[in-house]
Amino acid sequence: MEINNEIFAKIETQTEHIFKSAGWNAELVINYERIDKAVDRALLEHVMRDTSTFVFKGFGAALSGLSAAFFGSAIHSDVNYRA
Amino acid sequence: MVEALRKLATRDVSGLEELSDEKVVELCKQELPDDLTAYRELLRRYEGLIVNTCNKILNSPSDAEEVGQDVMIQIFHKINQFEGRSLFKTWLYKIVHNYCNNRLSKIIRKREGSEKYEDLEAQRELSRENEHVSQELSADVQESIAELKEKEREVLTLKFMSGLTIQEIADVLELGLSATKMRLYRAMESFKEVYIQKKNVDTSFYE
Repeated sequence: MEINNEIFAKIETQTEHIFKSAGWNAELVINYERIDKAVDRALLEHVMRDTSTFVFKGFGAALSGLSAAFFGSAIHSDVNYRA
Repeated sequence: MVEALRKLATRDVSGLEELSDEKVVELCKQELPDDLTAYRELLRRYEGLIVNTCNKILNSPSDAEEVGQDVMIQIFHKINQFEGRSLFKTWLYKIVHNYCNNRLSKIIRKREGSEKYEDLEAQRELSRENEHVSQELSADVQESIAELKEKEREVLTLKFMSGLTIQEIADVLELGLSATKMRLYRAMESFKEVYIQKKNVDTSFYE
């Protein structure tokens, strides 16, 4: 069903007038405290994500390094490098 | 510590105010997370609209504050996903729309009659605090809006508060142009009906 453009434009104008009178599109006062809070939270989440990534990726690397060191020393325990 | 990081990562913002949204977004993509200046400029432009839009859609100032914060943080994390195929404003309002929808699902499950009344009273209080608003008229408009369905509230808010065009609203809601126009028309009709009843206004205004 198509809406008659004239009827649509009329009700749009009338509705806009009501909302404008009620100040719905008035210029808003900037809330810098809210902005600071959002920025702080965003930074914190970013740091947490980076830390989690490091821990999980680093954990695997650390584990394989430890395993290599353990098995390596077991295999070569009979070697004597004293000089 | 986070506050210290925030201060270190923000330079003087003068000059950014004159740039278009798209140019500021490009700066964000290049500079985040080390430099927050461009990101703060985006928030400066849109934080009021974001929270007010959420407030009108959710009809709950406390939920609007939380959802508004979540939306602003999403800009930080997802700015690289904005490809410039639409206006930044349209992309932003899509995020607002999605987050408000998620919150609405929770609110609908929890809301009881007394909560709705308290929220309306809180909204009246919020209206009174804004020096630029015609207090009584705003409260009456807000009460009328509160009685509409969520989808009607949303489309009226996007049109008459956020100032989006019908095409932009269609992009945000992922609807066709005709469907969006029809939704807006029905929302205006519903609002008119409720507003007239509430105010016992002279209906000749609408003739």
